[in-house]
Amino acid sequence: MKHDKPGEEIEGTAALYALGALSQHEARAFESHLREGCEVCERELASFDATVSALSLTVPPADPPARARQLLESRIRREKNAPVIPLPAAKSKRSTSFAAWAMAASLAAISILSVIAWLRAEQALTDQQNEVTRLREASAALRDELSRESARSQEYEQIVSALKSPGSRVIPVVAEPKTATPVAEVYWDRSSSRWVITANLLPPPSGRVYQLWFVTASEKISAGLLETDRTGHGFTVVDVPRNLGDLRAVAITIEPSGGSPQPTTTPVAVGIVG
Amino acid sequence: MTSPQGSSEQDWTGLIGRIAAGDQSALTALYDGTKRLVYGLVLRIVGNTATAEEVLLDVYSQVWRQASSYDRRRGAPLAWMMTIARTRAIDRLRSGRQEHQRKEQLEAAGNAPAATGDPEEASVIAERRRIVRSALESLAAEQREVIELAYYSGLSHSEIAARLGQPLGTVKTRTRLGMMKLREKLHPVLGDEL
Repeated sequence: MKHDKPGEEIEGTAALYALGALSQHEARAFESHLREGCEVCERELASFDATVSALSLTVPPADPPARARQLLESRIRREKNAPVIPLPAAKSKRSTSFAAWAMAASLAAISILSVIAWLRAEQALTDQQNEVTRLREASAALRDELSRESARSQEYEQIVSALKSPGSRVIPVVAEPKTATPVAEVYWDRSSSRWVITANLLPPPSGRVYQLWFVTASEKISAGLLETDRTGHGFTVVDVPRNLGDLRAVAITIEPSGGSPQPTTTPVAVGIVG
Repeated sequence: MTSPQGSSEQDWTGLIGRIAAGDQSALTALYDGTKRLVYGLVLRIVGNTATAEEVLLDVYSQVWRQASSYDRRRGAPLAWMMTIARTRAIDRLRSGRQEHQRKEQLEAAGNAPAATGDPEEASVIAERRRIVRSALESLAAEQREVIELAYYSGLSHSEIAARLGQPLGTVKTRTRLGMMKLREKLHPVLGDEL
C-alpha cells in the first residue's frame, strides 16, 4: 500500500496529521500506514511537521510567573532524587542467558551492576527492609508527582488504581547509562496481576514498533506491543501471567511492525524486577 | 560555555546533552533561555495563566526525562521543545474542557499590555518570527483561519467545519492549500530548522 508519488490526497492527509487535525481513526490509520514504511508519506509528513513547527514562532513570547522557576527546580530535584529500586538478593538458580543478554545490551550502568550484584549478592534482612522503605517513598513521591502532572485522565486513573492496590510496586525502566531518570514506569497492580505501563520514548523508526518483554530467569516472553503516539508517549495495560515463574526484569525492544516472537534487538530500556 | 541566556541552537543542544547527563543546572539554564517562547505558546493555547504555568512545568519536566533520548538528527532543540509544548497544551485543553473559561480569560488578556519585543532575544529567532508571520499573512484569509484554528485549539477537521459552519471538504481543501503555500514559502528560508 506504499505510494509512488505525492498527490492531493496524500498532501492533505499529511498536512492535517501534522496539525493534529485528523480524526482519531484517520490518525491511527495514517500511523499504521507510516509503520509500513511509505517513504512518500514520510517525506510529506516531515516537511509539514517543519511547517507546523515554524507556526509556533508566530505566537508572541510572554513572561511566565517568576515563581515557576523555583517550582520547576523543586520538581526536578524530586524527580532526580526518586530512589532507584534496589534489588533483592540473588536466587540460587542462575541464568547465564539473561546475564549475557543484559551485558550485550547497552544498559544503564546501574542496570548492569545491579544485575551482577543480583546474581552474586547474599540475602540480608536489612537490605529487604530498606527496600520496602524506599519503595514506599518512591510511591509517595510518584503520587505527588501524579497529582501535579497533567496526565491524560484515564491513564491517571489507571495508575492511581494500580498504586492503591495492596502490595503495589513501581518499576522504573531506564535507558541510558548516565541518567537514573526512567523513560518508562511500570505500576504493578498485584491484586489483579496487571502492569500499568506509561512511557515517554522517541517514536520508533518507521516500520517498527516497541515491544515489551517479561524477562524470567530462563526466557523472554512477549508482553505485547507498546504503541506510541507522535511524541513517543505510550500507555498500555498488560496482564501478568501468574505462572510466569522467576520474573527478573521488564525490557523494551524495537521490533518490526507487528512484533516478534522473540526479541531481535538489544533492549532500549530495562526495568529490574528482582 | 556561553552566557546562561545563550539563545543559539548550539547552546541549547549543548544544554540538552548536559541535562541528559543529569545536570540540573543545565535544565534551569535551558528554561531561562527558552521559557518566554514556550510560555507564550502554551498561554495562547490554554488561555489562562494558572493552567499555562502548570503546563509549562510539565513541558520542562518532559524535557528533563527525555533529554537522553533527544536526537539532533530528528530536529532542532527549539522545534523539539515547542512540539512538546503544543502537544501538552492541547492535551490539557482537551482534557480540561475549559473553552468557556478560556474565552473569558483571553478577552481579559487582550486588555493586558501587549508583549513587547525582547531585546535579549536572539536576532535569528526574531528574524524567523518575522518570516513566518509574513508567510501566514500571505495566505488567503479563509486558509489562515482554518490553519490557526487547527493549530491553536487542536480541533479536528470536522470540529473546525462545525465551528465555522463550513462543509468538511471545504475545510480540508483550505487547510491543504494553506499548508502547502506555507511550506513553499518557509522551506527555502528555514529548511527543516525552526
